Amino acid sequence: MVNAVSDSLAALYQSLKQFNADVRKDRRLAVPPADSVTVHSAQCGSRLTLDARIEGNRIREIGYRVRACALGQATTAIVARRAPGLDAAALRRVGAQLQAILAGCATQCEWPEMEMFTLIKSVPSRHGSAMLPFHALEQLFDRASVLQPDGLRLSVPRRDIEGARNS
Amino acid sequence: MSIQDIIVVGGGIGGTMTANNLVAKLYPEIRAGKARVSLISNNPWHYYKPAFMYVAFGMFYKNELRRPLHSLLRPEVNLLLDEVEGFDFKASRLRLGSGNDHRYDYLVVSTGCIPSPERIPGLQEAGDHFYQHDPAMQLYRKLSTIESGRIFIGVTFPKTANVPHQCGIAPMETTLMLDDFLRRRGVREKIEILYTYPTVAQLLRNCLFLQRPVGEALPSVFASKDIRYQRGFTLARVDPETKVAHSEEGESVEFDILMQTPPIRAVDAVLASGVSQAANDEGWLPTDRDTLQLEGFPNTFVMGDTVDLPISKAGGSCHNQSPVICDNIAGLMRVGDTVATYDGKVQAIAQMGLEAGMPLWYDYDSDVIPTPATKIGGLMRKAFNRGVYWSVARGLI
Repeated sequence: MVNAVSDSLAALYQSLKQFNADVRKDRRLAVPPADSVTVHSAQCGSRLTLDARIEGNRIREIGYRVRACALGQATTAIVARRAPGLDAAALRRVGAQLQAILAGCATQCEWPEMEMFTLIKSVPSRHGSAMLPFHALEQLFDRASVLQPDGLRLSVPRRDIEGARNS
Repeated sequence: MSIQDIIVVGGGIGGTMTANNLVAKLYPEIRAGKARVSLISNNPWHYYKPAFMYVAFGMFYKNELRRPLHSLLRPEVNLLLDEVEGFDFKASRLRLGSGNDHRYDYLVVSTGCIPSPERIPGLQEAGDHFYQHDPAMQLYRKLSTIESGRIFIGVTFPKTANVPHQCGIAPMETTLMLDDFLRRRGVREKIEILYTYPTVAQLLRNCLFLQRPVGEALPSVFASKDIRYQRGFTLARVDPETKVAHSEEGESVEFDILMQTPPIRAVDAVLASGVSQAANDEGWLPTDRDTLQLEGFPNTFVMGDTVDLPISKAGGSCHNQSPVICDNIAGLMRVGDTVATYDGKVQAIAQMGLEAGMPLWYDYDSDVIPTPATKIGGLMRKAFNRGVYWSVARGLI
């Protein structure tokens, strides 16, 4: 059992390193036409600037500048790969699934890469960092919905995003 | 055509080797009177900072670990002994303590970091460290006279995510050196060594070292030397009266000597520049991971301890950053663009006890692969300490 946990942690460590490499180099979008928000997790100091071009309530393009711990880097890398083409509802659903995984209430996610975070439930101080891209997307969709009143709103409950706040 | 002014700030290993490397790189322009390289330092001495940890064990003395800065610089380097009091990155100007104002075309910021034990209540009064000469001497006096009790070793990380503490391997090195030192003194059996590592945001999980492969190798190394170790001790405060260290995790441990890697921050002028976004007013400058340019200021480069990169704050980082910066300044001057990329490479020879050493290297993608400590590794480290280092500072190797 101990070996299985150790092997899983080793696999997680390697996965995180690969995802982290994806976002090491900043990829920024011009603002406008994109919009940009900066969020950070007060508990661990992780910081993310997320740029997104949203059209018709769908993410068309994502940019980022990540200065976060390994978890925030990894979730940003996954979001950057997966989010283009998705709408607020789809991203809200995945954000809630990740939150449930971090809380230890679920083990599955429609983005299977997120399932590696089941091992992180015992490290609550990092959960805020992992949720940063979803918190940023929430704000970006909020802003976009002001301009596009028919748009759906992404709403990951703020109370559950430990320490995350607008900077 | 006006002369291009390139200014390097900081006379430590990063600034010294970079000033020399810039002269080598830009020699045609310098000979033609089209470029000038200046180094500004507030200290006429250059210190081999890694030797401070040897001072704590009585193995290095002040005049062995320093040289006059001018003696390490190529003659083409314009050395200015002055204090930079203000960086105006927007206007490309420096305000100096002498009252002078310097405009630059290109700037390299290599101002290091400052140990700040006062940032943890009680640590200044009751703790010791080896990251500066005088504190290292104070620690030596204690280590050379303690007869029994507990030596508590701890590490404090910056609060800024993914920014490591000064010289990542030093706490482990000094723990092993301490074990040897106390055995030589014949008091090891009466002194408990307790190595601790904090729960920090940078880590994926609680461990004994920042990188997983080394962290996994440490327990057997420590066990073979009867060194106790403990994960998850993040120093919150120290009670100097009772000599008790209290952790953020809620634990309290008594000590006779507290050897703590202290909090660190950037120098005052960098803090005051207003450019840093680092947590806890630590002042690390936002640095492009590839080009090493200060973000938003393409004519300014950052290196060494002052960066916000996830890379060890150590001379082994400067050694690999310096050529990238020199190439990029030359690229900007000659073809109008940066031409080199930093891959996060760091190398060193870890001191594993008083006689053994372990060569190590890593980069953004690859961790240190621990190898057995050997006598030949120890000889390599001695050679570096006693001679090779000065050639590195001169930009010769």
